[in-house]
Amino acid sequence: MEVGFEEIAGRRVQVAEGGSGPPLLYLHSAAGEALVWMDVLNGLAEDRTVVAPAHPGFWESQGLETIHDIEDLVNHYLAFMDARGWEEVDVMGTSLGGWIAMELAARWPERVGRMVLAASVGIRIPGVPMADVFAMSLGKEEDARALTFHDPHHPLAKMAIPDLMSLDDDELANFLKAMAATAKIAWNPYMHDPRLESMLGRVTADTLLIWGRSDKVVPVAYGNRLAGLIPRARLEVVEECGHSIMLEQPTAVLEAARGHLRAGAAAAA
Amino acid sequence: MKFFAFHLMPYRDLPDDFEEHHDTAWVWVPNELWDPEKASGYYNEYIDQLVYAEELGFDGVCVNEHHQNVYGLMPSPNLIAAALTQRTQRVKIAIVGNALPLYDPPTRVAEEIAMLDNMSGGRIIAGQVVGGGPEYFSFSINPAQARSRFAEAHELIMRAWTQPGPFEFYGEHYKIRYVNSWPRPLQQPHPPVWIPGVGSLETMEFVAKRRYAYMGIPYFHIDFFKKTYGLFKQACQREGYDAHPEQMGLLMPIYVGETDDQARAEFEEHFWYFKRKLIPGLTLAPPGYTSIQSAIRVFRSVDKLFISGVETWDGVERGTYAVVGSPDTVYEKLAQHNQELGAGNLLGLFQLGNMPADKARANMARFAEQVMPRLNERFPDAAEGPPAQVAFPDEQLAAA
Repeated sequence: MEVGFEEIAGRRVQVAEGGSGPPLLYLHSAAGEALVWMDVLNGLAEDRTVVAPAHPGFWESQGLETIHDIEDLVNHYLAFMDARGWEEVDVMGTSLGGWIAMELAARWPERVGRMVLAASVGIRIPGVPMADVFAMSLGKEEDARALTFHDPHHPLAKMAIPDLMSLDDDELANFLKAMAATAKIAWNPYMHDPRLESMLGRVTADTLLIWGRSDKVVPVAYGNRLAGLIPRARLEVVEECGHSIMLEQPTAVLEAARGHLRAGAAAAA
Repeated sequence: MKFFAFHLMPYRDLPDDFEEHHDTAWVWVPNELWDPEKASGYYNEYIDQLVYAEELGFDGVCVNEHHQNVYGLMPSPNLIAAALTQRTQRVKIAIVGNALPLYDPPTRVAEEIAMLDNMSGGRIIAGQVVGGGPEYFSFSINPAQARSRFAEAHELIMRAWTQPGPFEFYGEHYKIRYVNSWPRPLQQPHPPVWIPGVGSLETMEFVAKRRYAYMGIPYFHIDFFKKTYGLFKQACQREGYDAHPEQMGLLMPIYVGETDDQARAEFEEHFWYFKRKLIPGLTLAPPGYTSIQSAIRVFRSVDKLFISGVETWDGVERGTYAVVGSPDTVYEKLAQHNQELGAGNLLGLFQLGNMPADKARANMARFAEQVMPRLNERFPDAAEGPPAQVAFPDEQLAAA
């Protein structure tokens, strides 16, 4: 995996890229995991060129001042695809990234090939509240781990949510930037776009939804709902898995995602 | 020196074991705890205390705005100020302040302050604040827009007061085709503006440039204030003038007893009620609420330099989180600190936590009679008043 910079719609953005084969655009969650890379992206990179940009405001990606809502992010990624010369590309998105992917696929169905959505936000189900990830504060890291993992003592839970006091200034800045960039898009309406639900019928991409059975941030009811709203979608639920799906059950996620993406490649061949 | 009595109007009747069951005094503190019987008298009692400040010779009274919390029960300081315009004749009424981003459109603030200025005969000080971190949760206003909303709302309000209407205002957040505020304020061109700040350079520069008054947000270690006021004075110097004492307000919990021992014995329990029950959650900093640099600075200083880290009375004394003692002691401490700070406005919190009315009033009386005159002598008012405020410094430069 290599990290480089590209100029997209006047914004200097940081992009992690690795592997070989047809491109797969990976849209990261509020955790900004793209640049950390991970087992799942490593595995996918075996037969795909995984391209994982940091959203504006995350890591060293610039240009958050001209991003005001989810639509601006959709336009940002359209510009990204144009810059790459992709008429159509497979997209995988996790949580916040899944929301961006859905907006893209609903507004520009012809630009999205196959789609994988992991523990995605983006819609709201009355009576099934999402947890408030912005309320996490100093000294409450344990609570946050319990919220985002099925097993809060999972070896990677502390990597995902470290004790904030133990971070150096750069690490703390990255964390604060990620939260601020997420808040700019997702503070209110909280983690969703009230228009999205009515647009999802336009999605033409074959879509795999992957959800952790124990997701307490975006309960699995959201996966079920999306499976009903997106025309060619199916839901796969991963047992003993919370919202931090890419870290808690990487093998299950990788197998499901790879299977879905390879089925597309086989059909094309 | 000018003396103001500041009131937070706290919730006084929380259960003794409150902090064992609740880790915040803000946003999520369940309002089922509100006891209508006990609490219904708060407002009138607190207003009486501010009216008493006028009788005692204070120059002004201060109210402020907070929402959905037990620390301060004034979601609308303007309502309290309206009552005060009718109950007082002389004192300045400082609203420090209205949290501008919580008003949409913020022309509401221009209108209400103008009403109050007329109702009070021109006694209003118009404080303007960004609003506390918890309020961004309570209002679901995007904290990543806190600073830009504040700057834009400030501009809109100042234009509404000073620029002939109707005019069109098109900003990023507020788009109003016809701004034409009736009434206009009595004080011309506008009531004096005070801006509270936690110590960010951006805010100090904003205030210094416009020659507004700066007020340090309290509950930090005294060394933190000394640094902050030093930076504010430097910011004024960069603008080509020396900060006037009345451009600086020092806000402190103050308790005057007959003797040092009596003062502590009477005051301490209320301080701990305040610190343990009312403060938790106050520092909640939602994402994007400040610049990343400021957020890191506050993050690193909260444990060492903020009241939440204080556990012993010795710690209270060393950090001057409250000025407590006999009249002599209180005078000496305030004189000593202000020698360095140079503030011309002293804002005292005389009622703190669950302090009952009789104690708060006796405290105010002892302060007014035995401390205020000596501080006045020590820090006489400057021959000239503070510089004229300049709401639109860039435009003035352009015109010149």
